[in-house]
Amino acid sequence: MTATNAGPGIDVAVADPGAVTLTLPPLPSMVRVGRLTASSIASLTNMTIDDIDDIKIGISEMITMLIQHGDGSPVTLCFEADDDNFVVEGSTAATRLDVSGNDFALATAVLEAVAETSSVAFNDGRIVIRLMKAVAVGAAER
Amino acid sequence: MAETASDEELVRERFRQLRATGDPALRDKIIIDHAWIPRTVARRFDQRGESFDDLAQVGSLGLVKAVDRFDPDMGTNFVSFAMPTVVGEVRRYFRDHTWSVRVPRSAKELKPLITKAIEQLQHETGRSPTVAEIAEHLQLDADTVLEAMEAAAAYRTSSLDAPTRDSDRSNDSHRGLAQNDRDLGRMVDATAIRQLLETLPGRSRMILYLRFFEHMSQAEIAEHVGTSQVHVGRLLKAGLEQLRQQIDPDDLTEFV
Amino acid sequence: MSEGEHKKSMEEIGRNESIRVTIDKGAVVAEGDIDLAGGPLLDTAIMRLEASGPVVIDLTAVEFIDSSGLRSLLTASRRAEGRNSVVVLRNPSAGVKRLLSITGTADQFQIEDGDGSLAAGGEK
Repeated sequence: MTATNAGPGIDVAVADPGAVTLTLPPLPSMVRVGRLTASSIASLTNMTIDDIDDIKIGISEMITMLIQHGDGSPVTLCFEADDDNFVVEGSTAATRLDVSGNDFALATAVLEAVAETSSVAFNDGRIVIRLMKAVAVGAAER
Repeated sequence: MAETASDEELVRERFRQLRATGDPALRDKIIIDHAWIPRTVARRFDQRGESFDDLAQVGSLGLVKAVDRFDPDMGTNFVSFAMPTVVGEVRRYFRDHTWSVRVPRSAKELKPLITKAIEQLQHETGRSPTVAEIAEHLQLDADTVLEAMEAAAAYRTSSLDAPTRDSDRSNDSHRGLAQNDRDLGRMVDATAIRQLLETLPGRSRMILYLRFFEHMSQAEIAEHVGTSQVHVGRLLKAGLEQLRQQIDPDDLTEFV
Repeated sequence: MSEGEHKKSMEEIGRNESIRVTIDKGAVVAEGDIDLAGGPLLDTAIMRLEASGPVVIDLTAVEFIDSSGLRSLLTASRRAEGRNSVVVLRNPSAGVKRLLSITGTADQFQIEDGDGSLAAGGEK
């Protein structure tokens, strides 16, 4: 546990839970489950709600892409969060990754806009999407 | 009215018979024989301005619980066993302010409060707030705030679905008591409700108390209070309606 | 039940875990999340209304929208263009507007804010 001074009179201990892994069946209804998990974990880092909203968008894009391009295998999400960073890596099995569609372009554009860094890769039969968001409100403030 | 040793053994014997046969007439007899316990306790608590009858009613609820729980082979005598239960019931009723008509702080209630808090905090700090800051501001825990913010409009709509505007609002019997309960559950301020409950006449108040605090069914209330279930239903409906009419719309954030 | 044409004032198109969509007074009203799960119901409602001119989509109670949800709106907008009409987004939240500005798609719609003002194109 680390303590962070998040503002006047507020001392918040930031949990560092290590990696949290979530495995989801590739269903549309699961996108929201992923969002809720992401926002819960993100709120542990004491980032602002605007940043949490961005993460929800990013996660949504990530899971949607994995569902649409995957081969029907479960989608695995791995979250790591600490004082300074929120990182999530999502992956699923796929036979190929088609990057030519408009949907894909739109989704990756949004992903890039909401994250500090993001990447989409296809390796060894798995699509792997990563998203990293820096925690703006933290030890650095005030 | 103490019991002699042989009285105690007689009572224990009756309990053994009750446990063996489950005979409701025997149960009633045991309860009536010990009705002096709640009356004694009620008398003791009566100085605080509550009505003796109400307290005795509540106390007898404890008595019934004790009768149902007592194990004659445990070695204690029934009066010693029952007394704390009865006292406990009356004390609980007294803790005045815990007629917690279980008011859930629903997401729908919290959302406007959270929105206001965000505006305020944004103004103060010049940036958007964290969940922890919002929680601190509203004196709630962070999980509650997060859940309220994440609550799905779709879920809320389906669980709080009331009859549409087109339905006949005066035809409450149609909606059933469950709907009325939900309405009551959506009222915001438990303190306001407590104060309102105190304005009701004793019988209605007792019945509403038993319904919402003791979570008794209408049948159980009828048995306890000594009236018919139909009458209890009517009193509950009337009591709820009276509460509804007295509620200041400004105290509510959401009401059907 | 009634003589002649009788328009219901509100009709529920459908609901699932993500979204509830109704048509109320000629507008599509969405409540909840417009994502992969919510989009299809929204599409259904939009297609219901399309024949009759501009499509008003009330987003007052929309908590969340992502690019797949945006896709539903953009498709509707393209079809509206085809019949010389427009899609009106009523009362979009800050989150919705953020997505519109990230993607640069605000000018595909007519935005009607809570105070009744109209603006084509979003903010940045």
